[in-house]
Amino acid sequence: MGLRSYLLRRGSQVLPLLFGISILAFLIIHLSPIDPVELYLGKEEAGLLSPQDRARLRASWGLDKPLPVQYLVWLGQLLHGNLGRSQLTGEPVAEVIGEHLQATLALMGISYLLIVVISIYFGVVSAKKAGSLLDHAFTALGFALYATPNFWLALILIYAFSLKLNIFPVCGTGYTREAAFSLMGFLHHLALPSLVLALTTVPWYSRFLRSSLLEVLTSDFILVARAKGLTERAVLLRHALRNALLPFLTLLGMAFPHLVGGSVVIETIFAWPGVGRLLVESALRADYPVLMGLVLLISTFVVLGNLLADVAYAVVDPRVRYGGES
Amino acid sequence: MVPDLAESWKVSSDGKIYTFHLRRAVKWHDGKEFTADDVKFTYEKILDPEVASPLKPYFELVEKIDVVDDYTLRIQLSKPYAPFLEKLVVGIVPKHLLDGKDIKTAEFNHNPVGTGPFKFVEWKKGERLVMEANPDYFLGKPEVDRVVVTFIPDENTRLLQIVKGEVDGAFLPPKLASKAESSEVQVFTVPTGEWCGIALPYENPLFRDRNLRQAIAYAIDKQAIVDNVLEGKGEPTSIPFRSNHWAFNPKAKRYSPDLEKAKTLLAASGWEDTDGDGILDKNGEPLCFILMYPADDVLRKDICTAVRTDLREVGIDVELAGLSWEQIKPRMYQDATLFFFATVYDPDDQYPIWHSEFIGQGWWNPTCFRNGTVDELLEKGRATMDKQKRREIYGKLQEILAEEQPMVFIAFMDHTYLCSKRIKGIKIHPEGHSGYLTEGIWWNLEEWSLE
Repeated sequence: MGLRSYLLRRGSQVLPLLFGISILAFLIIHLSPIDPVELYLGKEEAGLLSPQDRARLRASWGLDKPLPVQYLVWLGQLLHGNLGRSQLTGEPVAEVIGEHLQATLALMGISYLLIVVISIYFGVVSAKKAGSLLDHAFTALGFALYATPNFWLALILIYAFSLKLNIFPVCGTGYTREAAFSLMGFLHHLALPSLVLALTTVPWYSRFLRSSLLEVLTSDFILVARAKGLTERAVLLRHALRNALLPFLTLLGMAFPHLVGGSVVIETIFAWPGVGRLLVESALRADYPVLMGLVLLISTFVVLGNLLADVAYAVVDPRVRYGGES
Repeated sequence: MVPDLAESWKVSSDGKIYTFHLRRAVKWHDGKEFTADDVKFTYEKILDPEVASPLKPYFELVEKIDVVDDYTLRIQLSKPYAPFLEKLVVGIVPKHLLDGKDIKTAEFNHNPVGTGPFKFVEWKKGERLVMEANPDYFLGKPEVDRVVVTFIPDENTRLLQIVKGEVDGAFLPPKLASKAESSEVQVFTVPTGEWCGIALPYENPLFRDRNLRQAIAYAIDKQAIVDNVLEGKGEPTSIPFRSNHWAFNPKAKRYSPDLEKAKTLLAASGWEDTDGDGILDKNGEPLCFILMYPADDVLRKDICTAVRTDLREVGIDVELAGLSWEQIKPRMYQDATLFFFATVYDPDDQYPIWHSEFIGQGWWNPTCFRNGTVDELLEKGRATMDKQKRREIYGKLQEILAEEQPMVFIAFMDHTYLCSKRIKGIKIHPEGHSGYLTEGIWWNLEEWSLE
């Protein structure tokens, strides 16, 4: 299969997938027992409302219509770029999500960067010193990090770096009673949450890079390079790493779902105003329009992230394209 | 009642006409003058069915609202309604900014304009709310120039932030608050009208037995719950009125821990331990029930665990069920639930909790309590204007509730706030459920000063 037909085949799977996700998200949210009137007014206050007023309120949100109609209305608006209005604040959903998206993109961007840098460092050192005490130590540390719940790691790092060493702030975005927004303040506040988010993902990638490097190091061209008299450092960094890095970088697309899942907890602990936290709050308050907008946005990102990873992998390694077909 | 935007008021002798004299020369934050038209507009919006305001039931006796002049307003009711004055305490909105607009989606909701000591500056959702001192505030510009409210959902993070001095004040549960005592932080305990009790729904035949309900009340060591679970921040109770409430009836029955009495009451209802397993039984059925609480609430879980331990002592087996409110709702007329309610000022707050007309209406009257005398007392209580007579009416209500124990009342709770020591002038104020910016220690923000 050529690259173009592979791309077409892989790309054509995306739209039905997104359509399916939208139906599923719509159903799960709309069939939940949460009463939006109660969540809009408060549990007790809603009980004071007459049944007529309750019905009027539900109707004003379009919740009195049959489910398929509600879905079609929502989909129709979506195609026009309108995600509706938040049930709680009355604001356009796109605006609400947009406001929170910037914070999340910053958090994920820095986390990605940290994942790449830390994973490469650990992966290369482990491969270079394979079987040594250091390699074992990195392996043990990796397993420990992988097994540590992110909220726990967050609290430990806050305790160590904020309370004891006073290097980073506990939480927030850098806007304090004394200071308005500044880029340095923002980055300073971003350091801990992005580090926590990255650290729980790093072991997976560093292990991948380690085994990938070890595999490359046994290849014939590495033998040739060594035979040419190149230093071990040059062999490792210039020849082996370059080859091992491509599949590693393409796999980074897979980190997206993990980062999205992690950001829900991390943003709550660090009071980071991103979409992860918005997702939790909208779910707790049954703000259907915001929730559905978010589910769709995150699913799209995850699907596209995977697509990108697959495509990049296929470009790098043609065997993927032909896999299963030959 | 303390005057604010209304300088004084007069209620007619039949309790049906309220005349308010408003404060003069009050300005909205956008510079426009505040007048009686704004007040009329606000109350009429509450009554507007399109708005679907939960405050509407409190205003349904309103027959007419007249603007006498710019600073005088008259409200006429169809019949006397004693708690009405208290119900009028709502934020007034500016007519000139909202007239003709859909109040549910208006831009005003994200950019509010008021008459208070602090002006709205910015609201970044989920992050911060910024307000600045209003130089034209009718009681003078506050000393604090700027107030930043940050939203930190995680309690542990909130604790660390206040300990580190990144914020000046925070609301925390008593157990966490007690960990923050330091030279930099002061802890405030605010009395509340919030009480907790175990609803024993009458729909469940087991709970229709008054002996059982009273036995549960005798078996629970409420003082121990206050001391151990609430860190001493509360007051044990057997009725839904706190001892410092003006309508409190000291003669209402009280239940101190008395295991022998509990056992006697259970035996009188035919419960005995025939198989020697420590759990009482009758006709081959063990004495056990399910006690529900919201799973994410650690405080409620701790209270329920204490209750289970106490009831085991008298041979009652309690199975705890930590669920979501959505799971609790369809089961709350069959299984016991730990509820929190608040009675702060007017005793009429009890109306929807006990009146039979509220059975099946959302979360109100969760025990399905149906008692003709109580219905009558509640109706009489809100229609009587004389405070002494109302005290007698609600006194009688407390006696019935104490005797019947449709809910086993456990304790009134206090709330704990942490505040930086650099802040001076904090006056605490009793509050209801919790956490609102106009209650607790935030009550007199305009009088605070910074060192």
